[in-house]
Amino acid sequence: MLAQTNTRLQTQPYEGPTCPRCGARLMADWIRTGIVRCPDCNGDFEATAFKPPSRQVHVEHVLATGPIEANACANHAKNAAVTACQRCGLLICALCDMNVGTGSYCPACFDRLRSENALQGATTRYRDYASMARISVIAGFLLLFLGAPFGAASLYYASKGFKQLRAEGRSIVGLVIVVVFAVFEILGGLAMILLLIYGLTKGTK
Amino acid sequence: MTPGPRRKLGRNVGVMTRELIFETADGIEVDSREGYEVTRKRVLFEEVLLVTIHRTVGVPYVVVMAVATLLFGGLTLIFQFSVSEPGAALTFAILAFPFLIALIVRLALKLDFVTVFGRRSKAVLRFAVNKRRAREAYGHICSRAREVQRSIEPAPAETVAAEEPPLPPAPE
Repeated sequence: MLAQTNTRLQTQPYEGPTCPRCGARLMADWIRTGIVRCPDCNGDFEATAFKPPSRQVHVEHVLATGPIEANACANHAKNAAVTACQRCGLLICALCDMNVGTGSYCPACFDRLRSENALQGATTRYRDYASMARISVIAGFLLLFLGAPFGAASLYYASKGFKQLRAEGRSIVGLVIVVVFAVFEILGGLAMILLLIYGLTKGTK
Repeated sequence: MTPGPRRKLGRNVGVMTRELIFETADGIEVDSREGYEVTRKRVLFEEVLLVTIHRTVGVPYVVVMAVATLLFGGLTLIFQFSVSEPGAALTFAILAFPFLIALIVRLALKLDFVTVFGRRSKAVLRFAVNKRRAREAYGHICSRAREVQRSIEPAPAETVAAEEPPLPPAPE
C-alpha cells in the first residue's frame, strides 16, 4: 500500500498551480483573480489568486539578550531558548520549536512522537475503523456460519470507529446501523452453530 | 487526527480516487481512502496560492453512459422490431433506462469542481448536483485563506512623524 502511494507520489509530483481542466502548468502571469482562459486547452475557469506571506521566525541571539536574560538553546548555542520541550524538557529556540498545535517539542521528540502516531496534528496515515467495521459485517453476512467471529470483530472495530468519528466530528449514524447488524450477525451465527450441533447430535441418535 | 472539530466540505469520488475533504482551523484536509487505510494530506490556508472553480461535463463518463445506453437501447429496438420478443425488449429497456437517466442528468447539471492550490499540495472538491454548495465552498475557502493570510502578514513598519528639532536662532 505504502509502495503504491509512494509510486503515485513519485510519478505525479506537485509542482504548483495548474489548469484545473487540462492540468497544464500555469505560469506566474496566469495566476490571477478573475476569469482565466487556459493557454493550452482554451478552457475558462474562475480563479482567486493569493500572495501568501512567508512566515518569518524571529530568533533571538544570546549575545543580543545577554546570558543572564536568556538561556541558550540546547541545539544552537548562539540562539536564545524560547520554550522547553514538553517531552524531554530541553530548552529550545524558535528554530527548534516543533509545534503543530499540540504543544512545543524539540526535533528529536517530534520525530519520535510522529513515528508513533502520537501527535494528532501530524498524523498523515491511519486506519479507518468505521470502514473496517462495515467490511467485517458484510463478510459476516456472506459467510453466515462464521457470523459470530465476524460480528465480534465488527463490534470491536466499531468501538474504535466511534472514538475516531467523534474526534473528527463526523456522524455516527452509519456505525450504529453496523453495530445493530453485527449483533444480529452474532446471534444468527450462534443460532446456526447450535442448530448444526443439534442436527448432528440428533442425527447420530 | 487534527485536534478540534472538522467540517466536511465535500468529496472527490472518481474511478480511481475516493477522497473526503474537510475544513479545519488552519487548513483543508484531504483524506484519500484506499480500502480501510486513509492517507491524509493538508493544504494550509496560509499557503494557498490559487482557488479555482469551473464547470465541466466529464467526457469519459458521458461516453461510457452513452455507449451503455446505445447498446441496451439498440438491443431493445432489435428485440422489439426484428425478433418480436417484447419480454426481452422490455428487459433491455429497463437495463438501458438508468444509463439514460445518468447521461441526461450529467448533461443537464454537469460537474462543478473547486480546486485549491497550495504551495506544496492541492485539494479538489467535486459537486455533481448542488451547484450552490460549490459556489459557497469556493467563497468560504477564499475568505478563510484571505483571513488567515492577513493575520500572519507582517505589520507595516510604523511610520512615526519625527518632530523636527527647533532651528537654532539665526545669527545676528
